[in-house]
Parts: sequence; structure tokens; C-alpha cells
Amino acid sequence: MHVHRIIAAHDCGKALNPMTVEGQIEGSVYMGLGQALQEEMVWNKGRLMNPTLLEYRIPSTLETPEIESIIVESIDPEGPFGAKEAGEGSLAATIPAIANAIYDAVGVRINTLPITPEKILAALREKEKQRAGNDAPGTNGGSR
Amino acid sequence: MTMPASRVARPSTIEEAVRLLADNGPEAVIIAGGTDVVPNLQMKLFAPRVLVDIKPIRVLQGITIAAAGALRLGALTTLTEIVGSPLLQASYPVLVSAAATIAGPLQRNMGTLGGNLCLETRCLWYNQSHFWRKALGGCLKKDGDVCHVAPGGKRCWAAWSGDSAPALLTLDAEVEITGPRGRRRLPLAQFYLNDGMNRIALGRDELVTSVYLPARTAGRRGIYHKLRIRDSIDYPLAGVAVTLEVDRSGVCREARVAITAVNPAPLLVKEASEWLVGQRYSAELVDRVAHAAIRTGKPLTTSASTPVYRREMVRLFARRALEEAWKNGNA
Amino acid sequence: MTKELIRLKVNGELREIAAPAEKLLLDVLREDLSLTGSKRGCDDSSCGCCAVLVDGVPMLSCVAIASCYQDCEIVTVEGIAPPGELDPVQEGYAVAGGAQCGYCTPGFLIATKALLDHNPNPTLEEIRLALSSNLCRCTGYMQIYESVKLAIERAQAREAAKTAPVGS
Ligand SMILES: Cc1cc2nc3c(=O)[nH]c(=O)nc-3n(C[C@H](O)[C@H](O)[C@H](O)COP(=O)(O)OP(=O)(O)OC[C@H]3O[C@@H](n4cnc5c(N)ncnc54)[C@H](O)[C@@H]3O)c2cc1C
Repeated sequence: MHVHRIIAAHDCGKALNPMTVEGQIEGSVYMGLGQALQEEMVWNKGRLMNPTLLEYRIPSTLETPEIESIIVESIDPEGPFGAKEAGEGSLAATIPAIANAIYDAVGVRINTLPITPEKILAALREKEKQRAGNDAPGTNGGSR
Repeated sequence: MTMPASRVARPSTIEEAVRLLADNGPEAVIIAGGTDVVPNLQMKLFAPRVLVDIKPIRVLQGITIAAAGALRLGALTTLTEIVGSPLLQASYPVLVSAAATIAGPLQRNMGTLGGNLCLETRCLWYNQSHFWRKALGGCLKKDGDVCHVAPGGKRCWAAWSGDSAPALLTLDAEVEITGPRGRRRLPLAQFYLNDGMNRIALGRDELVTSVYLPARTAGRRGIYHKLRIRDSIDYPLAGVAVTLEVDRSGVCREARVAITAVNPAPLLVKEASEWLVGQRYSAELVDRVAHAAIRTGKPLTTSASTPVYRREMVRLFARRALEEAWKNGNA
Repeated sequence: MTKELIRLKVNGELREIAAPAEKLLLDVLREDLSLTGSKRGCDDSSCGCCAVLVDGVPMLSCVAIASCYQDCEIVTVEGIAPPGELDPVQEGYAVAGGAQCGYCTPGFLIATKALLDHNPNPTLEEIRLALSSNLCRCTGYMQIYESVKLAIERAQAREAAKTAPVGS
């Protein structure tokens, strides 16, 4: 599984420092990417099994795709100098974007994070089984 | 975390190193690049009195041509040197592609081939801080008498998690070991004991001095596939190395398949050479060998990802690597 | 505890430190030499925050036992440029947003410096690979690549200025 490119547009109100806003968007997207595909705290009877950066795998440069950030400026009359936020919004959107891209590519929905190849494989098999089950009785579809 | 107090000895000859090891017995630990042993020391997985730093031993460095056209890789050859060696790239590509997947570039600048072949076995219940392990009363491998992976068992399943060993197994490599009684050479396959606690056939007073690659496996087409979650800085969760020699008419003349990270040792899949030599490519044959590969692998929950998935990937990698190596012909 | 005299050339200066034999280079740099630029970011040598140059090669000071590197030449982030000056690599990161929280930055600066020292004009793929031992939680790496590209430009500009005939 490989994410090729992520484009993120974010309404941050007034961009007080555009370079920093872009950095915040890209960083948020990165954290969303990690949460979507590979980061997981693994618990066993209340014990954290992966309390290190080796086993809690935040993405490295190699699997982090090109991230393109687009600042959408608006003026928020309530915010300081018209600003809203630029820290977390793009993180939240990244996860469903990746989940939807996977659905678009292979037709299965995974509803727990991280979305691992193992979960996708299991879901594809389940789907295959259901299709075979639907086809089987009284039709000549049969199982493939 | 801190380092346990110890003396550091820096021998500059093999003889001196052997003497230090012999004199200190189980109280001595060899350190080469330190990328495996230093994190483990900080986790208090061992508390040696003497650290024997072998880096000053010049004769353990570098890649040279040995007798009968074999290639000798000194134990201190770094992984970066292996990845960048034009000689290895041309003659033993499977080793280069396996070494290139190890950790990240900074670890490869420090990590040595000898250290990679003598890596400590790994397990989620073992590679933890002292504080973490203490809460559990330890495990079979360290400070305890229970295996948390296979409770009730008396065998340690900590996984062999090195990448270069499977590649070297498919090249019929030999390790040279030096001890008080001199030098001996061992096929790499016999170096591994498939026991999580007693991983290698190396005496307390011995060290690995070289690795030999025979001339007859030079030029063999080879492929290494590694399962990992992160593309860098990640030990293998499963790995398959394949080398093939295919003649002009498409008949397989030599074949090796080795697997890693799914047993306490890197292992050759014995059936591969038996079944493939003398045969032409067929999907059914390749499938059968891939199936033998998963019968050889016995992954348990020693790492991330489930044993079921890791087995499945062993099969897929074996099939894919054989297909690629066969179809792309012999270099 | 056996203390040992450790002799290192750090950022161009000869330093002698009496420290426990097993002490890590990272701790010697931070505690004995007050060079706190290099960071401890993890417990298992997986993050790259502690990177320093050892005889010109980027390495992890958290797995290096200082007494095993007797007489080696160490360059930390403090020594990339003379005091009061900035190396093009530092300029790149300062200007193009390569540092957010800054904790991983010393490691990235060292890895970048090592890359550009032997490959002054790397491709994006080469940059990615060279930086793949370093983890960053903030930037998503994009502005780090921008910083490296800017560093390359600045270095080239300095080179050009040096070779340009006076007065032109
Ligand atoms: C974050 C991280 C990720 C990693 N990922 C991988 C990975 O993906 N794949 C992988 O294979 N490895 C990985 N490693 C482990 C390690 O970097 C490499 O295996 C490296 O090659 C070890 O070599 P070294 O010289 O640093 O070994 P050391 O740590 O110096 O030694 C390792 C072991 O071998 C013994 N030893 C060393 N040299 C000899 C010798 N000549 N004779 C006898 N015994 C010896 C030591 O006593 C010790 O038990 C990783 C390490 C880290 C820190």
C-alpha cells in the first residue's frame, strides 16, 4: 500500500505567517497519514507493548508522500487579527481521505485504524466469500 | 536509560581480542558498530564487566579477493560499504539489496556485517526497558521462567531479525570464526541454532572474523523481499531471499530460498533446491516451493503484525521472488 | 566506576574528558562538554536526533561509546559553522521552515551537511534516502526538503561569489 500524493486545502482564517501555516498543514497531514496507516498503540492487559519510536512507527521520509498545501484565507471576526487555526484541521481530514482512496481503489471499507494491508486483505476475502455465497444457491455463478 | 558500568577494552589484534574473551568468559561482550548491543545494554538485557570493542582490529575491515576467486568480507565491513560496493552489486546483488533494507543510512554507517550476523534475537517481550520487564517478572530469555509468547513452553521463540543472513544463505556463504584454538570455517547454515536463547554456534571465547562468498555463486540472480511497516528504521517482520541460476533453455540449474524473521534462525527452505533444479518454470511448481517456505516458517507473536499475515507474506514473497528471478533470466 | 581519559577532537578543538569508560558520546557531548545541540530523542537509536559527524561520516552518538572513538574528529551541530556564522545548511533550515519544534533539527542538519559535503547537488530521492534515519513529527518533511534545496542554492551562490572576479 502506498500513498502517492496528498493535497490539502485548509481554511485558516487570516494566514498570519503563510510559511508556518503551510508547515502546519503539511505536518498535520503527516500525522493523519501515520494514524491512518501505521501508528498504533498496542495494549496487552494494560501494558503498552510498543513504548518506543522503533515499534511505534511514525512515518519516515521514505513512505511520506509529496504533500501539497493550499491556504484558503478568510477573515474570522472572532479570531486574533482574523485568524482561525492551522494546527489540527488537516489531520482530521486526512484519515477519511485515505480511507476513501482505499475504498475507491479496491472497494472495501475499513472502519478501524490503522488501515493495515492485513485488514484490507481480510476485508477483500470476506467480500469475495459473500459474493460467492450470494451467487451459489440456485445459480450457476458458483464460487470462483 | 543509562549504560551499565563496565570496562572498555580496545584490542588491536585478533589474538588480543580472543585472549580478552577467554579471560573474561560470560562477563565479556563484543561490540562492533554497537547499533544492536548498545540499545540492549541500556535496556539492561545484559550487564557485562568488559566491553570488547573490536573496531581497532584493522584486519577485520574491508572486502578482498581470497583464494579460489572467493570474496572475503571482513567482519567489520560496514553495511554502507556493502551497499556501495560495485563488486558486490555486480556479483552478489541479493546481498546488496538485503543490506540496503537494514535500519536507515546512519545505522548502516555504523553497523557491521559481523554484528548483523551475530544480532541478538528479538521479541516484543524482551526488547523492553528494565522497568517494563520487571513488572512482568521477566521472560524465559531474561530474568524469568515464563515465555509470554508461548506460555507453558520451555523454548524461546525470539525471532532472528537480521536481513543479510538470509541473503548470504542463498549464496552458500561461510563464516570464519577465530578462537583460542585458531580459525575454523563453517557454512553459514550451520552457524544458526534456531533457539531464541542460544542463537549462534559461537563459543564465548570466539569471534567472527570474516565471511566468504564462493566464486560459484557469483553472478547468481538474486532478490530479497522484506515485510516491514515503515520503509526505513524497521526490522523485518518477515523476509525472503532467493537466488537462481537458469540456463539458456530456461532450465533451473541452482536454486536457493531462505527466510528470515519468522523463526529463531534464518533458514534455508530445503525443498527449494530439490524441487527446482532441472525444472522449467511453472506457476504450479513455484507455488509448491512457496508453500514449502511457509511450512519452514513458524512465526509467533514476537513482533508487530500477526503470525497469519507474516506467513502469508512469506508465501507471497517466495512466489514473487522466484517468478521475478526466473523470468528476468540469469545475469 | 572506572574513569578513563577520553581524547576527542570536537568541532576543531582538542578536548580531554575523564569519564566512565562506558559513557555514551551523546552524554559526553551534552554533560561533559556542554554541547547540548545533539539531542536524545528515543531509547532505541531509532530517531536520529543525536546525529553527529565522526570523521566526516554521520553517525548516532547515542549508540557510540565515547571511549571507543578515541582521537576521532567529531562535528556536532554547534560546529557546522564558526561561531557567529551560519552554514548554508543552517540558513536553508532557518529560512525555509525546516524547523518547527526544533527537536529533530540538529540531527537533520548533520545528516544534510554530510549529504551535501559529498553530493552537492542531490536529487529529491537522494535527499529522502539520506534523511531516512531521521524522524520528524512536525513538518511532514516537505519544508525540510525545501530547506535542503535552499541550502544547495545558497552554497552555490557562495561558491559563485568566491570565484567571481572582484568588482564584477
Ligand atoms: C533503529 C534500528 C533499526 C535496525 N533495523 C535493522 C534491520 O532492519 N535489519 C537488521 O538486520 N538489523 C537492524 N538493526 C540492527 C543493526 O543495526 C544491524 O544488524 C547491524 O548490522 C549490527 O551491527 P553492529 O556492528 O552495530 O553490531 P553490534 O551491536 O556491535 O553487535 C551485535 C551483536 O553481535 C555481536 N558481535 C558483533 N561483531 C561480532 C563479531 N565479529 N564476532 C562475534 N560477535 C560479534 C555483539 O556482541 C552483539 O551481540 C537495527 C538497529 C537499530 C538501532
